[in-house]
Amino acid sequence: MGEVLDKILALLGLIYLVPAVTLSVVIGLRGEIQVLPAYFATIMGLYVSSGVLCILSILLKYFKSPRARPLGIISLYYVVAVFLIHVSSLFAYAPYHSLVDYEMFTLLFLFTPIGLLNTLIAIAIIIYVSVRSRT
Amino acid sequence: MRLRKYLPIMLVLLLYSSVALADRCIIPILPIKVREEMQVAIIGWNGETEVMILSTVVSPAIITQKPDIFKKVELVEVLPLKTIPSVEAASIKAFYVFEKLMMKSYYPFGTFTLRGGVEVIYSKRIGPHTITLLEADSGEDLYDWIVNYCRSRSIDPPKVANVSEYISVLNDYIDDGYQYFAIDVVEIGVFSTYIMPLKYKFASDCIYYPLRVSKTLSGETQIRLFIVTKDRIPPEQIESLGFKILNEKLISIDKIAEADKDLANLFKGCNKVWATLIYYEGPADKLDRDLILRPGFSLRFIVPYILLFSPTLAVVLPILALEIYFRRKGA
Repeated sequence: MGEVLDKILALLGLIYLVPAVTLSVVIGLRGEIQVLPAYFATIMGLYVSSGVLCILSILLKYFKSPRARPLGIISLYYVVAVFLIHVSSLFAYAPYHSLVDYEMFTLLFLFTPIGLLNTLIAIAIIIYVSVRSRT
Repeated sequence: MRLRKYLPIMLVLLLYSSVALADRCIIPILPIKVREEMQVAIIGWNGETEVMILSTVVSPAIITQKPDIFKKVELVEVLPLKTIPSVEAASIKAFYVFEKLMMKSYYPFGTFTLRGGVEVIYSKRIGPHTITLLEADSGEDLYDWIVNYCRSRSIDPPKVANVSEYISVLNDYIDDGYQYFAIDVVEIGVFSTYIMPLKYKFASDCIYYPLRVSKTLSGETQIRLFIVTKDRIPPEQIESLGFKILNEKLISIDKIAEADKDLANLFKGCNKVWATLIYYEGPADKLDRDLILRPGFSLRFIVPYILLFSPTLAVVLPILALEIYFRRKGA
């Protein structure tokens, strides 16, 4: 279980981290971080942090820390929470979204399938871990 | 006879603008009530000089008993300034989404001469506009000039009860250094139409766009302003005027030059400039202050950085701190 958990956490971390960080760097190079809508910056920040958390739990495992496994479980919950925040906020944000933000809005939607995939994996692991811990 | 009803309003609009940096009055000089629907403008400011490309969508609301749809409508627009502007036609291309204005001038070009304390700096016709720039050092003379100006267009002079008060306000205005008055007579159609844009270029120590006078117009109004500056404008300044910021972004100077070369020339040496699109929609009578802006710093500029990086810091720092703590304890 530990091996599988590590691999999936690494996968989740990369899937979340790479696009979020790439997008952040691109926006940063264009000098537009300071004009990011608050909503967009918040969601981006949550995705980056969830990716970092997954990677961090792998690093702790690499350094043989006993905190690696609980942190890994927390990371999975965090991944699910971020995705739920993202999806629910889309419904809240969409009615107020103006056409000017269309480009950013589209970019944000790209995270939805990635987040959905990650979340399904994370939920499966959480259920699996929960069942295993009871038995 | 309705002229007499509206001319005092016209003068109120003009004279009420005494403390503003600039007011742009629309004054109907035919018995037609003008409802200003949407003002559109591009404003560029480099710290010393402002280029203002102005247009307006106007829909005259006909209030005569038997409206004559073939009758032309003339408006007088007044733009008081501290310095002498250059005025020229602007390309409608700058307003990408707007249709080209196709209007003709139906009246002959008038010439004006020195009248006491009012000097005509220049007068020129640009499409449907007739621009006359006045320098006035006396409220009385300026008032007389406007009265005679209206008479020259076969309009009955206004019968204003408190002329002395108006003149007093006008004198205050002149005393504050706003001795130049750009008088624009423009023809508009009976139906909603865009007024051909004009480009004013003048020295200014701030970004401004005249708003206050719009409050005297009836109905709802919409204003879309595209402001180009070297530095960002604090959003608090914009929002305090009732405007919303629709978009802000850095734009290369080449793209600005495509819209208007004079605008691009304001920012020589800059590769990119800030473009801010702001919008107002609401009752015209709520516009009780001119748009006067100065670029500067705002704490809200760093909010996106905080939102972007704080979740990661909030996650990573406690975990690293705990890990270091437990490792030192040997756990």
